[in-house]
Amino acid sequence: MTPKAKELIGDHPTLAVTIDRRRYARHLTLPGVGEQGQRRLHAASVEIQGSGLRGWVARRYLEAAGVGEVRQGARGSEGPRWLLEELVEGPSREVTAGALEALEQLREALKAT
Amino acid sequence: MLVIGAGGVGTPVALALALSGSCRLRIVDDDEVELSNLHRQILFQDSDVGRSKLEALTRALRSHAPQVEVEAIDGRFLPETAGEILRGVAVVVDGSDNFATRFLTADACALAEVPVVHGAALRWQATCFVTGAGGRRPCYRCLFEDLPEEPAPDCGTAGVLGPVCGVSGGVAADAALRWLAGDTRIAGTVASFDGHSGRLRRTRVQPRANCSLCGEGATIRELDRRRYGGGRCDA
Repeated sequence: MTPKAKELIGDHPTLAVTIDRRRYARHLTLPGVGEQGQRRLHAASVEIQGSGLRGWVARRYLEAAGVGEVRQGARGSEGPRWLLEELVEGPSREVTAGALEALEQLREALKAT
Repeated sequence: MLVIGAGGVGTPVALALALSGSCRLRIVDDDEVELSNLHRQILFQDSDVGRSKLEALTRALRSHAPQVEVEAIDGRFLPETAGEILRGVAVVVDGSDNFATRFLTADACALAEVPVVHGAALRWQATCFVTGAGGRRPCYRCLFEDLPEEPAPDCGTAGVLGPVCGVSGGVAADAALRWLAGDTRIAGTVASFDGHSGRLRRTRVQPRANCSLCGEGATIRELDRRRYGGGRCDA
């Protein structure tokens, strides 16, 4: 959770600020996200490990989803095994890897209380 | 390479293809950027809302890949325009958001003998189905047969997570580039991704003997507008 969000809502992310219903319309109807999930995303602070195209894609998906804070880590990211087995090395794999990293962070943020 | 639809799937496809540097891009779409697109269409910004998607996408692609050649076709992929739009295309990536356009793409490309990669994303699921050309089977109609009679869920009603679109687009771009490079082993396979588990599964689709597009006694020999619902057929 970002410091600002913490200050605003304490330990109760479900009480977070107003949701932009037009922007996040596809989340609000999505099982597993909904209004409560969107509030959790706004309150979340996540760290991405990918760099270059992979990192840019991950960051953009997280920002676009409304995640409160996206920080850059330095550990690097390999992604799941199927990524290396199924996709040829190059931009397609990097775009997919970035999307996968963002997805993993969104899943974690949605689980958080 | 032709990309049909500059939406949640089409934009990551276009980004990956542009950065690959291995093809000229033709993109067809007639929509404007809407605020509800921005949670998943990561090449667009707030300042693009209300602008043509093609204009915004072309600008974004050139900022990532300055050398990319983009031919933007501001219009719809329709039975009347399909032949002209497909002219000179080696591979099509279908990133459309409705069944009418997907079936039209499948039929038009089968008749024109152009391979298609169908990418789709809904809720937490992504799929990528690769169909061959020149009589290769199976085709899209072997798997889905015909347009659903009842309204099918779409991302407007059922929702979709942005990165799931990115996985669909990345896997579709990979398939298209592999085909362009001569690797046709993935023809007839469908890759299914589950965003809850993060797993991807690839399975081979069996040709259907009585398929109306590629089976024995196939009946689809031309593009008849009535076959696609006669209504919405946009990308």
